[in-house]
Amino acid sequence: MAVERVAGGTSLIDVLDRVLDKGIVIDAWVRISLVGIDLITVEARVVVASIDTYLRFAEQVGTLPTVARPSALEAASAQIGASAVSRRPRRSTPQS
Amino acid sequence: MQETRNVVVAENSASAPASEAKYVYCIIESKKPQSFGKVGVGGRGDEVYTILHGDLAAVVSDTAIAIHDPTRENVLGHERVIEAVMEQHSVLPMSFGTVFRTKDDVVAFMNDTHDALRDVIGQVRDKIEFGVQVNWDRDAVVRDIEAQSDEVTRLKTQIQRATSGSTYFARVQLGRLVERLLSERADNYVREIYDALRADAVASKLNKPIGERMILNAAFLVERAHSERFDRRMHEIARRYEGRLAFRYTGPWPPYNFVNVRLTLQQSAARA
Repeated sequence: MAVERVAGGTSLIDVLDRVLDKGIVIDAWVRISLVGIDLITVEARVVVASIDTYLRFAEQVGTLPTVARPSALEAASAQIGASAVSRRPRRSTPQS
Repeated sequence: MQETRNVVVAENSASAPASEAKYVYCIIESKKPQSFGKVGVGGRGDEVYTILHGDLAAVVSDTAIAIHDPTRENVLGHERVIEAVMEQHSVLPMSFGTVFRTKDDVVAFMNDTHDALRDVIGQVRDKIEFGVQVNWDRDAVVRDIEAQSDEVTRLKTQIQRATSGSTYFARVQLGRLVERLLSERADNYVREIYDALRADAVASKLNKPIGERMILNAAFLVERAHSERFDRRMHEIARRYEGRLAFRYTGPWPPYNFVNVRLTLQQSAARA
């Protein structure tokens, strides 16, 4: 076998690469200080600042430009072909 | 950009006992209370269970009110809980260290963000993430390039034969040429591998390579039902480049790379 799949939660680096800044993220979480303690309380509302789910990508597979050279890839948020893909627009929280 | 509803979400959470704080791992679709065992982060063996709100549930464990440092134990613990939940559910993973003071806060959070969470969970339903990293032996590739490129050979000979005068410009030229050839070769590898893998994925994402040796660091979102097909494709590709490239293939992961929901806190109207 040329390559074995390694289970997700076994390598710390792989896990850190994901859990620290991806998924559902509440920005500046620990810096929030409302009653003298750095944790959320209901005195603050949690609101949606932006959503990006990247899933539009699949519809655009055929139209992607060639990838950038690896050294030119920008920060971890870089997505291949971002310029050619119409991603979901950023939205603010739904209103009622 | 940001509008808000001017509503009071809840009151007086400050009086709740500290032990009631909730560490949140992920959001799932569920209408019934569930337990995932006494595997909560923090080393106390806290039970991992659900807090329900309509058709969504937050997977949480009780915790002391504290900032959780991203230690090895805590970070792996966070990931393992989500992986256990993933066995039966599609998940929206929370980033590490998210703690709410009370159950009411968790409910308020789900209430405030319900529509967005529903939307996103619908998009990742029955899909899982795989990670693929490709490393090469840069020195070996440099030797290979030197052996194959006439231009490189010419410049090296010129540098070696120089008996007088500076070889500075020839050396700069050589360095640039080798860098360019290296990056062309990396480009080709990355394009071939990435294109082949994403054919079997619902979505894919390139992350920044980690370290000198890595040329590709990518994540793929795959239909759970098609994960074997992705597996086969991965093995096929790894065989094709055997001896030249080293592959790291990881997963299944929660869809961390495909769920990017940024939330901010806003003072509620009652306190503003």
